[in-house]
Formats: sequence, structure tokens, C-alpha cells
Amino acid sequence: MISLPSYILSDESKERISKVWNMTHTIAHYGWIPFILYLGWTHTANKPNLFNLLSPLPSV
Amino acid sequence: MSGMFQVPGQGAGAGMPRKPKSKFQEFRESPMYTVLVNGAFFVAGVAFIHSPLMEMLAPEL
Amino acid sequence: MSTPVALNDFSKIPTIPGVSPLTTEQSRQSFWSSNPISSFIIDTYKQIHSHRQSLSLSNPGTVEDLNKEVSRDVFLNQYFFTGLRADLNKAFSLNPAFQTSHTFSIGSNTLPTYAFSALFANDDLFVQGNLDSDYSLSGRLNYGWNKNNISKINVQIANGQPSMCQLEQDFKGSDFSANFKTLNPSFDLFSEEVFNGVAVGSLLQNITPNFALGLEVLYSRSQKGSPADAGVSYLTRYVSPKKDWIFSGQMQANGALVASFWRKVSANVEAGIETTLQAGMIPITDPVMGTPIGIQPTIEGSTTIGAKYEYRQSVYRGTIDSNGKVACFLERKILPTLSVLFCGEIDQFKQESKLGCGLQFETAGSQELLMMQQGLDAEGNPLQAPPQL
Repeated sequence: MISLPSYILSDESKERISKVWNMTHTIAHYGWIPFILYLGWTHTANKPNLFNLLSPLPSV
Repeated sequence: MSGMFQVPGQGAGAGMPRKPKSKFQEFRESPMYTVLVNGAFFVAGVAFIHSPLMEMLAPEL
Repeated sequence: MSTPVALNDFSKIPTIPGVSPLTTEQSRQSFWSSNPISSFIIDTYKQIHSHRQSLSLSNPGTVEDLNKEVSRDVFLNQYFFTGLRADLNKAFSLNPAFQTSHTFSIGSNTLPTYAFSALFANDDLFVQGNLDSDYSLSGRLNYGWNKNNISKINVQIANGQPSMCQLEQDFKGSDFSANFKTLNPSFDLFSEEVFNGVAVGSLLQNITPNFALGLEVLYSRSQKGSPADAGVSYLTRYVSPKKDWIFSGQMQANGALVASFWRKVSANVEAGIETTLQAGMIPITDPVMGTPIGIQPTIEGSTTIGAKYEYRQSVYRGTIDSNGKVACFLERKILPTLSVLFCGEIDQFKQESKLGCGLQFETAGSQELLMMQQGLDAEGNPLQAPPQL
């Protein structure tokens, strides 16, 4: 990853970079668990529904 | 005299009579003591785990 | 007159003394193998390689697992908790493994009151995530490119705290393991400080079939402008020929010396001991002024001895250490779907104690698993072996 020297970056693009970074941060924060659940859901034969995925009670 | 301008370390304890430490006490406070004690613990522990004593602690099922 | 030689048999052509005929390797006319310099290097490499193969060394295991048998299997540090807790694990499938888990806890300073975690694993991918009631996330992803290369990502994001990201690459050779990891890396190619963060490289090499030596190099610069820190740790591990005892030693860059010993006493009993000596400096402050006037070297040491008893329905762990702490951790499966956990610790010197109790429920997310948990297969016939859930 090559970043430009700091004196070339305008304040505007600096702001944009930090905005993108913050967004990645938020997506990773709240998207990680749904990502695993989706991954598991697609690989499970009986395709449990969302309530079954999240409830701790036995679903059968 | 507040002791403000004295040589550090001489202020508080200077007046009190200092008991001479015995050789053993000096050794006990040195880092060498910790090393030796823990080294001895380790050797004793390894000997214990390797000995038939440890096998006696393992129940036969 | 000599007898004519068949032209296709090059090995019988008379040669000038001192010059050997082309070997089959050389006669393949590759530039690299016919060039004397590169062929020397290639030959030397092949020679060393074949010599290494002839030693029949096995992989020494990873640096991370150097004293795993003692510190993670026998000792209970990483299982210990305080207060009350309940885990509700729900398995949806076994292959690929997919399960979710809800953890409730009260009365603990370290465990959050509620945490949800999900896990997915198949042959080459492992993904795990844990989100707790303070909205802090810890996640990990391991991906095996082939059986020698594993990439790992570890992320920790907490509200109001700096987040942490660790990238790791594991390489397993036939007789060595190499690992490279970096924590919160950032690059700035145009300033003098190109790299910020922590980088650790380690190598563990088997010298004989049982004995391995290793090296770990650490470089860290936590903030821009602050001086960087570097250190080297030395590692060693010896596995007995019958694999029933293991010795491992570490001399860490921060001044700690760790020696550990593990033995498998019988089929279900393991015992281990670990000694840590930590050298450090404490500043001496002036008794009157309170200003530092010098530093004094100190060594702190502790030795822990412990044993683990593992049976089909229960696991017992106990440790005693030289600082006067006695601890135990008991785990017993009372039903196929319910386990009870108990852990306690008494500090004899400080007169303190800690206690933890827990329940672990296993529930099923599919019909097949529900039958398995009750010891039946999919058709309702009893299973031969108890399920390993």
C-alpha cells in the first residue's frame, strides 16, 4: 500500500479517507456476526430461519 | 533544617541505628534467592512428575 | 582400434580425465543447470535438502504452541472465571461446523453480562465472532491456502477504545515452522518512520527428530515519533522419543525466562510444571523528595505445578503455585446436553479467594444433531460411541 506524502493530500481527501476508514470500521463491527451467520446458514442443510438462528432454544 | 538540601538517602534513616544484616538476610533479599528457589522448585517438580509417585496419583480405571 | 560405441549411450563416451560427463540433470539443457555457478548453488541446495530429508525430521509445531501442553491443556488459567455463568450452545451442523452460543454471566469483573458468539468452520476456513453487551467485537478468521500455509486475521473492536487488528501468516515446512505477524500495522513510505505498529517474526527448526530451536524477533513502534523497540527471544523444545514428555524453554526479549515440563502420566492423566523468572528494573525513589534517584534490578519468580484428569464425562484440573495460590477447575457432563462447571482459587498468602460456577447447555438446531445428542443416529438407532460434541 503506497500512500501519498502528506503535503500532497488536501484536507478534503484526508477527510474522505478518514470517512472511508470509519465506515470500514463500522461495517466490520456490526457486519461480522451477520456474515458468519449467513455463511453458516448457506452451508446448513435445513436452512434455519432467523429466529432459530438467534434463539438459544432447540429449534426441533 | 528541613532536610531538603541533604544528600538523598541520608535524610530519613540517618539518625536511626542500623542493624547489621546477616549474610543470610542479605542473600534472601538478593535476586539470586528467587532464581535459586524457583530453579529448585522446577527441578523438584520435574523429578516428582517423572517419579513413580505421580503414577500412583493416576487412578487405574 | 577401439570398438565403436553406440552414439545414443553418452555415458560410455571416453572423457578427458578430471572432467565428468554431463549428468542426466545437466543434459536437459536448462540454462540454470548447465551454468556452473547456478548449478553449484542448485546442487548444494539439493545436497542439503537430501541431507535434511535423510535426517527424517518432523515438523516441530508452531511457536505459539511451544508450551501449549502445559499452559493451555493442563493449567486452568484460560478456563478460569468468577461469578455465575450460563452458556447456551446451539449446534446447527457438524461438518461444516456451525454453531451459535449465548453466554450470560453475573458477578464477574471480566466477563460481560451477555455475549453472543457464532462459529463456522470447514476444512480450510475458520470464522469466529463474539459480540458482547458492551458492543465490543472480537473476531477471527483463519484460512488455510494449503496444508502448509495458514493466514489469520484477528480483530478486536470496542466502543471508545482503539481497535486492534492482527494479521498473521503461518508457514509449516517439513522440519520447521515460520510465523510472521503484525499488530495494527500502518505504513508511511514518505516519512523516515516507514512502519508503525508491532511486527513479530519467528522460526522454529527441528535440529534432531526430537529437539527444536527457535528464534523470535520483535519490532515495535507504538506511536509516530516515539522511539522504536526491538527484541529477540530464544526458544527451545524437546519432545521425548515416545512423545510422553516435553520440555520447553523460552528466553523472552522482555527479560523473562520460562521453563516448562509436561508429562503424560497415563492415558487420561497429564501433569505439568512451569517456572517463570521475570527480570525487571524498579526505580528507586528518594524517600524524602519522591523523585527517582536510580534503578534497581529485580527478579520475580513463580513456579506452578498442575495436573489434569480427563475422563469421558468429566475433566478435572488443579494447580498449586509458589505464590500460595491453589486453584481447581472441574467440568462434568451430567446429561448429554448439560455440563456443570466449577472453579475456585484460594490465595493462601493474601487470604483471598475466587469462585465460579457455570452451566453449559447444548441444544440442537437440526433433527440429526438432536438425535445424536441423545445417543441415536438419524434413523433412531443407538450409536456405538458417545457423540463427541
